[in-house]
Amino acid sequence: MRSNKGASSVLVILMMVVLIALGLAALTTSLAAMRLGDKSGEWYEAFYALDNMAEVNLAVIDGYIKEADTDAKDYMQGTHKFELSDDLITVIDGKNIDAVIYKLVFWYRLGALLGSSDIEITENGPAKAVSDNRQVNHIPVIRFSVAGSGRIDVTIEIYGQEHDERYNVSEWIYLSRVSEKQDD
Amino acid sequence: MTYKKHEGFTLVEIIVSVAALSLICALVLQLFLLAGDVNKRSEKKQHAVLTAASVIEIIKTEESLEALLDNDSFKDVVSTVSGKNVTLVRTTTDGMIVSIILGYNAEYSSENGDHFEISVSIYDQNSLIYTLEGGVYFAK
Repeated sequence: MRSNKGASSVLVILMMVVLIALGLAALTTSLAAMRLGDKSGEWYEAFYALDNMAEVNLAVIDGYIKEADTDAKDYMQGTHKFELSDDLITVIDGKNIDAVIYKLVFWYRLGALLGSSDIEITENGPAKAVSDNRQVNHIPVIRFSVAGSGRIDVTIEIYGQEHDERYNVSEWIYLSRVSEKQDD
Repeated sequence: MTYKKHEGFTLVEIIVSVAALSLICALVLQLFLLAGDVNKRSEKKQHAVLTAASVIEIIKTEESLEALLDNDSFKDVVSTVSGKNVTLVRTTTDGMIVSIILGYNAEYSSENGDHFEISVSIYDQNSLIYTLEGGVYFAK
């Protein structure tokens, strides 16, 4: 008859090995979940730091929009203090001349305040200025478009430096003066 | 009648083996307890991260500081207003304490609007779990 001596010891050892393996697996999973939680926290911190940067720039842009609006009003009243380049006035139509001139001056001045190198103005459609952002820090591209009823959509494309991530932060600002002129 | 001789264990052998087995069992149990503890901490951290992010998002949806203080989420919280700086403290249903500090940023505020630095800290039984910082611009 075959001897059963030591069989129970083998079973106990096997059970211990299995328990230790399961314990280590549970611990590894928990540690991985904790690292993921920490990483997620870091991502949120990086995102909201960039988002705050965009909000700061939005405050600056809001000031520029108000300034461009004042300049455009001054230009319409003939009390402007700057020269508008002739080649910008290309889309004036007879029936809506005040609104078009106002729009041109507004976007021209906004582009100048932002240090923009690219201003696009379409006839009767939304006017758009793309800034290469020389004056506003850390943000490579700012886009504007008029969504109607005086609402100016400001889209800020911002790059995370640490994680090389790119974020789009969209904000909007109402400007009553633009609204009046856009609705003419 | 003949009896087969069975050699058993001595008392000392049994005591030693039971002690060794108990020691190993205790160590294995520690592993599971540690895993459970780490799981709990990780769950709290993730919850804190999401809570902090959602608080900032709620703040960012508001149009002004006054509207924010009127928001249902912040109506019943303890608030301290010092000048234009606001501190809000609320307790969540699961016992976490959320401290929100809105610091007025005079550098980027003007007659056009106000910029606030936001700091959201989540505490569990007075120990800080997570802090998230952001900002908001309330255009006028």
